[in-house]
Amino acid sequence: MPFDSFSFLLFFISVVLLDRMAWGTPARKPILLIASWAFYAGWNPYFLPMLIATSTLDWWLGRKLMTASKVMKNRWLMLSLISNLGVLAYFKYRFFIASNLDSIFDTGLLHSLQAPGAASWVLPVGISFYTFQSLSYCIDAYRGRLPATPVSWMDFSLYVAFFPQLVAGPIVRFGDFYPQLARNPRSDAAQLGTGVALIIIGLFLKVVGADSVFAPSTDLLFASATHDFRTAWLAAMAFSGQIFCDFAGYSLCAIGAARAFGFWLPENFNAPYAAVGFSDFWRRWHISLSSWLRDYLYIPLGGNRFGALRTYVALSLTMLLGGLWHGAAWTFVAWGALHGLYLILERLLGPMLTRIHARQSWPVATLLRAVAWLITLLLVMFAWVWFRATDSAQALTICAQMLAPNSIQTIVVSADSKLMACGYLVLIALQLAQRRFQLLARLQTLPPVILGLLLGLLLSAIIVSPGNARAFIYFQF
Amino acid sequence: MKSLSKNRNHWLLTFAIIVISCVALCAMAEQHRRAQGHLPTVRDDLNLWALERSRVDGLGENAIAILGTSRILYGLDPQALARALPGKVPVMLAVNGAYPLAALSDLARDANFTGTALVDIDARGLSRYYRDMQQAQVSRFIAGVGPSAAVHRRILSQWQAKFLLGDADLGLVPTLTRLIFNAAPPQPRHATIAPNRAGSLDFQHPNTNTAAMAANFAAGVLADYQDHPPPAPDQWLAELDDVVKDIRAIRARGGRVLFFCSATSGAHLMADQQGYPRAQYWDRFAREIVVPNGARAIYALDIPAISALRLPDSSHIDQRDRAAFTATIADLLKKID
Repeated sequence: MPFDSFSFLLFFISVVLLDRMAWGTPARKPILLIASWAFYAGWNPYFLPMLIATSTLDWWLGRKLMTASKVMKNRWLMLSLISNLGVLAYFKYRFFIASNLDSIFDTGLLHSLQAPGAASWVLPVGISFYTFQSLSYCIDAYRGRLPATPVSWMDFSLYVAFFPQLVAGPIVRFGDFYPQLARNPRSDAAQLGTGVALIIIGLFLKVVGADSVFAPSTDLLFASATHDFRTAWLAAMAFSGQIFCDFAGYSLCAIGAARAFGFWLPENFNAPYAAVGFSDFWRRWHISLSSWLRDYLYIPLGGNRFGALRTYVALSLTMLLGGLWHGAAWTFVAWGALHGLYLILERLLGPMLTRIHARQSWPVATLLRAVAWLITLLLVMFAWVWFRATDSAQALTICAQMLAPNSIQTIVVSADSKLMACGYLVLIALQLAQRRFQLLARLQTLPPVILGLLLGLLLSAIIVSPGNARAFIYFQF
Repeated sequence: MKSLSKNRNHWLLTFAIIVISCVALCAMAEQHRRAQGHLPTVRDDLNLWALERSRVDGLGENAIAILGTSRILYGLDPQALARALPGKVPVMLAVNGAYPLAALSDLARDANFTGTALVDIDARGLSRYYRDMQQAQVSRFIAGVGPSAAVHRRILSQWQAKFLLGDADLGLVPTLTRLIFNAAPPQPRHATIAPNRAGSLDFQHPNTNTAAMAANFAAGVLADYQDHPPPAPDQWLAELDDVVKDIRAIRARGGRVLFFCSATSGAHLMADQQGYPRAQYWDRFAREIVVPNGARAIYALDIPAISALRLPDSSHIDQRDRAAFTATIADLLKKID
C-alpha cells in the first residue's frame, strides 16, 4: 500500500500499536513479518506467494553458500543468480526481449507471448528492489562476508520483506540489517518522533512537490506535440523536480517508518542537484542503488584496477545495466548510457580541471566550481528527458529543442509551468543550502514549538493538496 | 531515565503543536471554502466505479445495475429506488459524459450477473462511435482494485463527501497559482456526487446559467454530427449486433434489460431529432431489436410523470425532482418484473 494513502495510515497506526504491545516478546518478529506481508498483499494478494517463495529459496541458498566447498559455492551462487535474475527477466523483461528478438530475427515471439491464453502475469510491485536485496545476501554469503551463525528463516524473510523498504528501497544490505534484527531494537519517543517527522516531510515532498507542483507540468509538457527551447527545458525541469520529490519523498517515508520501529535504514538521497560532477551526483542520488551497482557490478567488472580503458568499459556496462534495471525500454538504456558517458568524460577531463581549479584565486575558483555545478545539473536534466519520454522519438524531439536556443519561441507557457519553475528554483536553493548545512539533521535540534509549527504547516499543506493521487514512480521498477 | 523522559516530553509537545496547528489551519481552509459557496463532493474515478461494479456480482437477481450517462447519474437516487423496490439493490454505474455500451457488454459477459440492467442511452449513444466510452472503467474492474486501494478509495469517498479539503480544484497549489498569476477562482459547482456514485444537480445554485448550458448542449450535439455523422437507419440497426448478443446473454441467465431514453428539451431535443429522428432510430431499435429479444425500451417523453419534469439545462433534472423521477423509474421496473 502506498505511503500516501488512508490505508497506510490505518495500517501504520495499527502496526505501531501492535509492535509496542509485542516488545520484549517472541511475537515481535512474526508480527512485523506478517504486517510486512499484509503491506505487500495490499497491492495484490497474488504477488505474495512469489515473494515468500523467492526469499525462502535465497535463504536456503544462503545457508548452502555459507557452508559449501569452493566448487559447490560456485554452483550455488550460479543457481542463485539464475533464479533471481530469471524471475526478474521473466516478469520484467520478457516482452522487451521478445520484441527485440522479433525485430532482429522475426521470431514472432512477442505475438505468442501476447496471444490469448498465454500466461499474462503482471509485474509484481517492487520486484527489482527485493531481488537485488536477496541477491546481495547470496553474493555476500559467497564472499564470506556474512556472520557465520546460521540465519533463521524468520530473520531472512523479515530482512527481505520489512515493509518500509520492501517496495522501493532503500536497498538494504543484510550486513547492516541483521545486527539490528539480532538486537531487536526498541523504538523510543525520539525514534518514533523522528520517524513521524520524516514521514511528514517525505509526504510533503510527494504530495505537494511531486504530485501537485511538478507532475501536472510534466504531463502537460511531455504530452505536447510541439516544443521550443524554453518549453523543452521546462519539461526537463518539471520531471527533474518530480522524480526527485517523488523518490526522495518515498525514501524519507521509508526511513521514517523504519525509525518508528527502531530500525535504521541507509540514506538514499543527499541533495543530488547540488552535486558538482557526476561521481558526486551518484554519491547523492539513489545512494543505496548506486552503491549496490558499485559493489556487485562495477568492482566485479574490474572497477578502476585494470587501467583506463577497462575502467571505462566497466563504467559503461554498469550504467547501461543500471539504466535497464529501471525499466524494460531503450529509453532507460539511453539514460544509463548518457550517465556512463558523463562519468567517462569526467574521468578524462577531471585531472586537468582539478589542476586548473587549484591554480585559481578564491573568487575564480568559486566561480569555476559554480559553473561545474551548473553544467552537472543541466546535463542531469538533459538525461532525465530520456528517463521520462514515452519513446526515443519523443526524447529526441525534446532534446533537439533543448540544444536549439534559436528555435522560435511561440508556445505560451502556462501558469502551472511558471509556478513549477519557481518551485524548482526553491528546490535547487534548498539542496544547495543542504549541502552546507545538513537541513534534516538540524531539524531535530529545533525547539519543539518551532519544529511542531513547521511540521504542522507541512502536514496542513499535505491535507489541502489532494490533487490526483499518482503512484510513486519507482513502484513500476 | 531523565533523558528518556525529557525526550518523551519534547516529542509529546512537538506532536501536540503539530496536531493543534494542523487542525487550526485545515479548519480555516475548510471554513474559507465553505464561505465561498463550495460544497463537498466525491471525485469519481475508475477505482470507485470498479468497486461499485464489483458489488453487482454478489447480488444475484436482486442487482439493479444502473448504466448510462449524466442524465441518470444525476437524476436517479439509488437509495430511494431501493426503498421503493424492497429486496433490490441498485448500484450506480452511470458515468458522466460516457455512453454505457462497454459496461453493458461487461455485464453480459459476466456469468454472475443475473439481475436487471437499467440502461440510460439514446439513439446517438447506440451508434458505433461510442461503443468503448466506458471501456476504461470496465478494464479497471477486470484488472481488479487491490485491497489497499479499495480501503483507500472507500475512506477517500467519505472524506471528500464531508470536507472541501478533499477537493483537488481548491487545493493548495492550484490556489497559489491563481493567486500569483491573477487567475479567477473556480466558481462553486452545482453538481455533487455521493460516495455511492449517485449525483445530484442544484439548478438553484447562484452560479448556474441554465440558458448558457442549454445552448452549449444543443451546439455540442450539432457539432458532434460533423465529427460523427449519424449512420443511415438501416446501417445503424445492422451495427447493433453486439447489443443483441448482450441482451440475449443476460436474458439467457434470467436477467432483465431495460433501455431508457432520457428526456431532453428545447433546442437540445431538436438537435437530437435532427440527427437521429425517433421514428427511424429509437422506435425501430425498440421494435426490431429490444422487444424480439425479451428486453424493454422506454422513451422517457412517453411517460407523463417524466415529461412533466422540468429540464433546466435541457438535459438534466434538478435535485428537487429526483424523488419523482426515481419513483417513476421504480414503477417502470416493477412492471417488467
